[in-house]
Amino acid sequence: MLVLTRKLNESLMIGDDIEIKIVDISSKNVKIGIEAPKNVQVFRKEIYDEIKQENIEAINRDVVSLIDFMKKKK
Amino acid sequence: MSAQKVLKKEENMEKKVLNSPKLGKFEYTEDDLVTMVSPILGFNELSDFLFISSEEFYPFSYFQSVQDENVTFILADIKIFFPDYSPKFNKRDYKVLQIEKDEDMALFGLVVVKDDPQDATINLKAPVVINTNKKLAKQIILEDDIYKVKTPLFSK
Repeated sequence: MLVLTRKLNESLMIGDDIEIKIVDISSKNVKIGIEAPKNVQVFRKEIYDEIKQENIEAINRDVVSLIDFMKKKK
Repeated sequence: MSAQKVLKKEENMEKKVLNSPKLGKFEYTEDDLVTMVSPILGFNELSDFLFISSEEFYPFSYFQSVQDENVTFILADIKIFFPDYSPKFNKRDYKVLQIEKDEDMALFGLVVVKDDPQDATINLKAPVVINTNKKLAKQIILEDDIYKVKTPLFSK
């Protein structure tokens, strides 16, 4: 992993069109501003991993049991 | 209409066959495809899907990849299960989905079915939003935490 040191309000560029700026620093948190084209998605890593895992779990299931269950519930 | 345009139209109407292990064999044309404007996370290579609904399994639909026939999702019409569902989207999302009016937009949740159907969950944190008019879709990850990834589909 590339590690760089930046001060408050300094930025770094990823390629030509993604800018990452250090907006605020406190003892435990860093606030980061991101400027990116709208086709680039930005996620918090934990959320990204959680959604991805859930999507993988969602494939190739069958609705039949759900439909039966709903009919019984009525 | 120019000759080229006519040709393109015919091309679009060309019937293709998909053999889904989940849903069996069926025909579709290019015009039937729903295109992901950004990928479903975990399925980055897959942009083209078929939205398959039927009275038989209403209010659920299948979302079948045409690029990988082994990938079939179940979508549930969120408003049927959660009438109060009203997530906040960014302007950017409306823009990439080319949504001009609310009627263009349909909200679906990916459903995970468990062995016991009562335990089924729906992902309300990352709904699949479809512009039904333009046939564009995006799984939008909501920024606020009111809605959960594993929301029980049925109340117990």
